Amino acid sequence: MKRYWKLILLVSFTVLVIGAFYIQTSTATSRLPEFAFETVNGDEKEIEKLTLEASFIQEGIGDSFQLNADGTTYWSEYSYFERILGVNQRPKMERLQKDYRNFMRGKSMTPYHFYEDENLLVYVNLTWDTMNGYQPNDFELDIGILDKVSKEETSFQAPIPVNKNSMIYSMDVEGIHIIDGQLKIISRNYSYDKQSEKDITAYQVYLVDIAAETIQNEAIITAKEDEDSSNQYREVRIVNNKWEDIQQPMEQVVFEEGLIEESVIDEWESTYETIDRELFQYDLATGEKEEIKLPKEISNNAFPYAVNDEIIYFTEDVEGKLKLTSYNIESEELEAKQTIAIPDVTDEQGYMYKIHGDKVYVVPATKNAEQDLPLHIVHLKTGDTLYEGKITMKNPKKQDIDYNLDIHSIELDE
Amino acid sequence: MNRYVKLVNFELGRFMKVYIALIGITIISQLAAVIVVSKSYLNNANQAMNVDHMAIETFIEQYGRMSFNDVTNSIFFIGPIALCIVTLLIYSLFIWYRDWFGKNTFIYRLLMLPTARLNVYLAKASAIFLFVLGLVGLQILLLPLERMILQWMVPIDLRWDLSINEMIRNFDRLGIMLPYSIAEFAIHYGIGFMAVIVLFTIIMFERCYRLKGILLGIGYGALALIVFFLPVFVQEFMLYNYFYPEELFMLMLVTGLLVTAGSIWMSNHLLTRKIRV
Repeated sequence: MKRYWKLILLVSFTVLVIGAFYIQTSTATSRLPEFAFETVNGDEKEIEKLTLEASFIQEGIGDSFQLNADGTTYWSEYSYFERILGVNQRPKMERLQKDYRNFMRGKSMTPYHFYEDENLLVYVNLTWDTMNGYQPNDFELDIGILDKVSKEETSFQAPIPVNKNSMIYSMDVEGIHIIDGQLKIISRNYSYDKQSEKDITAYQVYLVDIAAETIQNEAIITAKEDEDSSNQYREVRIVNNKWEDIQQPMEQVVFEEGLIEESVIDEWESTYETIDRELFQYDLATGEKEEIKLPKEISNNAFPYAVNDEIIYFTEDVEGKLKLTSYNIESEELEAKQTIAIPDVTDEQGYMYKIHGDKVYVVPATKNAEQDLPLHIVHLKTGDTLYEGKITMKNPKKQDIDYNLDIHSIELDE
Repeated sequence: MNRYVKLVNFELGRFMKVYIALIGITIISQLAAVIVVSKSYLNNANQAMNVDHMAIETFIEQYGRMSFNDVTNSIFFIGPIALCIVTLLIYSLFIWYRDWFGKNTFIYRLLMLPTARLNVYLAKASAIFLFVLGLVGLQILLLPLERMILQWMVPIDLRWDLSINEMIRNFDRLGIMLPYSIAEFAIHYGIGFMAVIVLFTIIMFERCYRLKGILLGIGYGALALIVFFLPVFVQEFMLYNYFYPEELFMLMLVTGLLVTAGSIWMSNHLLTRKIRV
């Protein structure tokens, strides 16, 4: 035995030290602090489905974490396998992958690339010929359709039809719709018009012929020259607050067209002001456009944040307070006006909000050791505060030293 | 088995002097790093507070508290780690070539031992692996010691204490050496072991076919790389995103084991049939 001392020493040393190290790290409690919602007022049920994505930094050391009613989970607390298997995926995508494992292969992880109703799961994603690299006009759609009942799968790639007079240099798929059994895709196209020699932003409807595996132009919803004059330009966009969700059936799509004026302050700084704007809704079945006449109470600066059934929610920042206005398209009336004052939020802190269903969730975007982080959930119609709480640190020892907590996003499970 | 153990012990002995020197250099240089960095920080603090009459709060606001991060960023800390890595890399080649180019062709005696030649091969690979793990263990022991010295030298108001875990996480090169969990540790060093085995196979090719063997060896190395990363190539270039992460992990586990087993088999074949002394 004595002859082997080198081997015995080295083996026992490594096994002991490395073993002890990993036993210690697995049992050592993290020094990162726990945060929790502390209810001040209201029903705790309101926060059951709420998750805040946030990060904590103290003296240059920190980690990102998720905070919900159950408490804090830091990224570093997940095991290696949980991390490579993607714990951080949105639960919506996890459900799709679990239920339709084979169909979901090779599909992007962005929920917005999917449309789902009772019978169908549709996937549409923009691709281009990867061999030749990027070329204008050379766009394809990667389309997958799953019949949930018969389990029948259809997938194909089809090129976007090209218009002789214009050159598309970029596009985004912004809507996937099934209307009377037909697949319609709304895309926002950035193109160059060869005749007028101008840049144009257009919303285009494409009709997908599933049997023939081709894409046809159906209609142009709106097309505007980007520049009106040297200091004015136009903006068109879909009003939609569900960019983070799987798309669901709808019949009407609301658009906003705005005329923006740039005022140059100096070489480095400019301000932008909406001097004119128009909202309209597009009927996906008939292709008709109908202007939405807004009452005077809604100023040009009120941002159409979300559409929920027949109500458009406008948000506006008025002296650090969040002003919310609900407008009913059908009855053409203002439904409600709410101003949510968030106490103790300083200007530089700013705030974040999310409208989900008929509730709005408001929280400051950042906090340090001295600041509070209040959470408010307000009903949009009645203006009642459904929940009022704050985010507090559970390890008071760490409170003495300055830290930063940043909220990255407000997530709500279905 | 007994032969293999003897051979490992023998290989450890042959490198022991250099190995102990590496350990010594690491200890001295890293302890020096702690002392030098702490001293320069304290000098700064002294200058600011006693000469410029700065309040302690203002000083901390301007310069920050001292933490172990300042030490790990110092060249005296990272230098010896780099030296150990480079030395062991060179020795992975030298462990074979010293037997051919030594005073008397020692390989002749090694290969004539009444035991499977693969034992010689595996003993050399095990020795390299043990040297690496030994140095990793040394670093684990040094970290708390170095932290203690820092705490002796720098008063509590001026420093920001880190746990051993934080010291490692804040320094990504240490993070590769000592990943979060024992599972990752096994994966990192498993890949390392595979790389050593592939390198040894390339050396075997060279020793068998000399100049032509270099080309064969390079070809073999490229093949090993392609096989190991095949699932990733398929995922990226052929079936975009086809595999789920857990499937990709299992596939790479399989290809990794395949490359390791294939290399050992190939080396064994070359050692018993083709080797030239």
